[in-house]
Amino acid sequence: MKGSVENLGSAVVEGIDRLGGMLRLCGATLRRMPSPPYRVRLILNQLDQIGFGSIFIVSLTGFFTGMVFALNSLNALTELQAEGMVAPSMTLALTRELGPILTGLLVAGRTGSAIATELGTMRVTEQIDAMEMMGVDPVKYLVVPRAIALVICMPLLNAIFIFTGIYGSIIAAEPFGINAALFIQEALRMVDANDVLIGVIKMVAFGLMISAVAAYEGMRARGGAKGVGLSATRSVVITSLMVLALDWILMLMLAPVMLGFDL
Amino acid sequence: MIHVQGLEKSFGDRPILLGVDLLCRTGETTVILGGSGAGKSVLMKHMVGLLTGDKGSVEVDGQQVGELDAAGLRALRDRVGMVFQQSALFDSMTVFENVAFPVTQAAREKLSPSELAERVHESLALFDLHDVDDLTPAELSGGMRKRVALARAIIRRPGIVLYDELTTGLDPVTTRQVDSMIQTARQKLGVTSVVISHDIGSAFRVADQIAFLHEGRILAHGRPEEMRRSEQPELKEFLSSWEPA
Ligand SMILES: Nc1ncnc2c1ncn2[C@@H]1O[C@H](COP(=O)(O)OP(=O)(O)OP(=O)(O)O)[C@@H](O)[C@H]1O
Ligand SMILES: [Mg+2]
Repeated sequence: MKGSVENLGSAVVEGIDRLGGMLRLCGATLRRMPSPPYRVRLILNQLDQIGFGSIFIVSLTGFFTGMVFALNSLNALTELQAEGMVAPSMTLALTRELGPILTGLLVAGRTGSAIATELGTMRVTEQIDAMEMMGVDPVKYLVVPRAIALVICMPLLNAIFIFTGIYGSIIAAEPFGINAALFIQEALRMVDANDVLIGVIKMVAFGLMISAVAAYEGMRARGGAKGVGLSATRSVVITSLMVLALDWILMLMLAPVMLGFDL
Repeated sequence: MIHVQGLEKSFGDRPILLGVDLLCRTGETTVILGGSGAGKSVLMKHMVGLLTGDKGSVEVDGQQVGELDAAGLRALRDRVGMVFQQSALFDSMTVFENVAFPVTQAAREKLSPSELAERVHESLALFDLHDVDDLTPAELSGGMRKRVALARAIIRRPGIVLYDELTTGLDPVTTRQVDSMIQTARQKLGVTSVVISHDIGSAFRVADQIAFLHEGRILAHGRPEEMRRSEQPELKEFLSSWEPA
């Protein structure tokens, strides 16, 4: 009994320690962003890997989520003879929650593991030591380009998710007599500039969080291939949980001011 | 000159170094011998501030490494080249980019492409590497990787070069080649070298001084002949595993 209390205690301490390390890394990354050298080529490289590389999976998920979600809503709405409501409800659901959360989770899985694996391998093969040794700051050289790329990509990927999601809904709604023009007209009535803004804020926060968590886990990797694997797994688990947590916290904070309702 | 005094280091509650004293003189090659896990790599990383000791001090050319700020540390590392145990070539870059890295990224020297190429090729040629520019580290053999790492470590002509197990995993012929490269670097470039090794034969070939690290302490040090005659029991046992050809 005493043992398990102690274990819980040390797990809590370790969790806090970890969170502190991630926040410090995030701070260090932000501080280094504005100062030269900018290393544009590294940023472009990351934009390609993180952004371009995620388009396929994000749009595919967006399309099917939109379609299936719309079909389910339509079945319910037909009973109420309110099929027309599908456009506003889908648009709201996609822009406020489905887009940010699912895009966040997809990128957390795909990029969170990639960053942790890459930096973890560099750590255990002494490449990060070598870089430091040659006078190049690993945070500036390795983390900053990834963070910048994520911050740029996340809102765009979210937009892609929302658009493909709406496209999926339109296709689902067609057989119910709702044509595309009508759908879009109804959809546009529902979107508010603040919804878009909240989406961007969330996605930028997710981007920074994913880069900080994954880079932190990678840079702490120890003990060969096994250690790298562990840090990649941890990175995916933590980034995914943090996407959910941040989404909730940001919504709690922003909804009252920007959307005029409390959650 | 590198002067280590009373250096202690633990990771968590595992003590690794228990008070290491070591003096590496300018222009000489000092070999640190010791078994696997003795803490040789850990000791070397203290010399350039990649690790910081719990107790004791490391002095390089009169400066306390532990007390340097970021700028001081960078200035120190500018004068030191290091070849890591696992070569530590950046595997996302070609051989050329790896060797050029200290010049283009670290010093950010503004060289024309042809000047840069000349310097990179000059460095590679010192270690008998030709036409390898566009290969990636994954395409190199272990021995070539070590030599590329050497070329990268000395491209900015450091006054001090640290070699972490340069010869482990190499065949005898390549080992001899690498040994002669350390001597080349010392003679042609006049560098102070610290070499980690558990290859006794190679240690006797290149060393001016040998230090024997065992269980966190330097148990014996001196010139190679002195070490060979030493009566220190752990060292005797360590050396007895090797028979000169
Ligand atoms: N960053 C670290 N964190 C925790 N333990 C470490 C760290 N670096 C090294 N160690 C531990 O310190 C001990 C000594 O490691 P070191 O790499 O210095 O050995 P070594 O003498 O170089 O051995 P080898 O000849 O096998 O390379 C090992 O047990 C290792 O597990
Ligand atoms: Mg070692």
